Amino acid sequence: MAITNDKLRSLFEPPAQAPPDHVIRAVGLTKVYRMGTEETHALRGASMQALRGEYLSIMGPSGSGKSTLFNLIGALQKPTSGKVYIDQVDIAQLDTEELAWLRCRKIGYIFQTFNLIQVMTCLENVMLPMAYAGREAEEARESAIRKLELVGLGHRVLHKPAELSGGQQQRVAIARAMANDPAIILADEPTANLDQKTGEEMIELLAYLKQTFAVTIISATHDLKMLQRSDRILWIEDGRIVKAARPDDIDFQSSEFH
Amino acid sequence: MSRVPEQIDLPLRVAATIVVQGLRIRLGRSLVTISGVLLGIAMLTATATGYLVKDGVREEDQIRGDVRRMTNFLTSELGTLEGKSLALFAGDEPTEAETRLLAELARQTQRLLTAPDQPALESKPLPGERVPKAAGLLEADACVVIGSRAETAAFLSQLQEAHYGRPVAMTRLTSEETTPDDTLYFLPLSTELSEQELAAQAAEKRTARYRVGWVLGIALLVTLMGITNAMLMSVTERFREIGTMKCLGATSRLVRRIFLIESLIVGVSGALAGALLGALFSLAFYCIVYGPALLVGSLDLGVLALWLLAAVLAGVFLTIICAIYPASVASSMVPATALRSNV
Repeated sequence: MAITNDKLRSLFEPPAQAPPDHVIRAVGLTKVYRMGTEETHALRGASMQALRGEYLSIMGPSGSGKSTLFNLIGALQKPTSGKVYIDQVDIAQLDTEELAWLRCRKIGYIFQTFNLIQVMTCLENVMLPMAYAGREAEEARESAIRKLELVGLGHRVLHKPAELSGGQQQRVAIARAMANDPAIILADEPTANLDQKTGEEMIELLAYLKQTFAVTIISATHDLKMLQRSDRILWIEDGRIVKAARPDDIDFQSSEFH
Repeated sequence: MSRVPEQIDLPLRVAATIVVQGLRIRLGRSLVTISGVLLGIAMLTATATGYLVKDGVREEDQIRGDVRRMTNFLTSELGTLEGKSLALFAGDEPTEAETRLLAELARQTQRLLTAPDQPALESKPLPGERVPKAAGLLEADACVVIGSRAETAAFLSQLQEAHYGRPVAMTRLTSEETTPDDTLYFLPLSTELSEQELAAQAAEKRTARYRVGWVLGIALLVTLMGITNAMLMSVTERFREIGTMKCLGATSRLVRRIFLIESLIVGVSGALAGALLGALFSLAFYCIVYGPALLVGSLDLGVLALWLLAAVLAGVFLTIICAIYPASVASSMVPATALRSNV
């Protein structure tokens, strides 16, 4: 009888295979902002996964909860309910020191507004996360120069951000995000403040980083070029993920994109 | 489930290096902040030093007036003091004015005779001859007695017995206290103020104290505002930067530590420079007003140093409080909120 039971059970179990390697997994995220008595639901149960080494784009109109989702999966904010797993770790369980470690070494952030520290040179900006990681100054300096060379700014290391164009500033931000060789790069509309051509360069650079260093890149974006270049696209609408698709399956000529 | 290690806190030395680098990098802005603290403390110490100087000068002025008055009384009685010999007796510890009077008399007469065994004078070495016997003192042109009648009763009766006929100048005797049947020829050097005058003086002192308190209070308030404003601005304008720092992996503790060290450096350098500048400015000003001699003679350096120390400590304390509070608010913010803040 027991044998039959086992057999029976095996019929219902999925065939054994390597489980998908989710570097980020978000389950049922909700986020409510309270302004006085008024409540704003930025997210209403969004769930998503990002595979290791994937170029994932999140798309949605403004006010759809894109940035909130981005902040939640980047451990920059706590969800009202729901769970975020980064490398299988439930980040709600982490204390502030552990979160700081995670932000320092696992995740690199790229912002729409670059968020470079204006008074520091490019080199010092890139060296900052290295200093937080406790890396020795000489080694960090060399490593930072290599990162800047990687993004094509090897000749501008001692310039201040204000002396650079928007595209160059975003390159510095990308070099800074790569400072401690993170597993994930989170980019919140990285091309929104750049012109068409510079934006494309940035997309190519991110794609190159993904190829060369196998980093997972997650970006919130409207940029058509960026969507086309990504491995997978998620649509977010009114605080929920409503659709997921590969760029090959999407008609970019449709009215949705224009 | 893989483990996430804690972000190690950077050692103080590394935090200090980050701070020094930061201060060097934003040198211009740091100087503005430091000068905010500096001006505040300079304002406070300049005001305080001014009052200290004026107080000292007023006291010095009073003493000089007293000495001048007493010397004048003596000269009007004896004529010029040059070549005269004066016998000296002290029944009590001489006051500042009396000591100055003795020095002045010693300078003019070149001859002050003092009897031995005068404990009140032991601590103040005076120029002049020591006369071994009290009898020798009777040869002097006049007697200068320090102390009231009661304090010097024994000496006075000695003079009386010797039928001393020359003037006996008493530093603490007023003309009201002499009587016609005194056998000695008293020369009262002290002046008694009427009750009205005393009351007026007391009232004057009281209002002066209120005025000083008021102005010092205002100066303290201005200092408080200046430092608070400078530090609050310099930290709140960096809220986004703090958010960015936290995104890049700085712990809240590191952020607080960085701002603590930074405000300590800013506070100590600003307050020290401010205290020195304020005091020097004030002293230079009053040097011009009163002249260097009077200023040097009347300034109590110990009290001034205490004032400066208090001002520096207050400045450093204020600076740290005003920097740490907003910095710790920002560092305990969710990074996303700190990043959004637009100051």
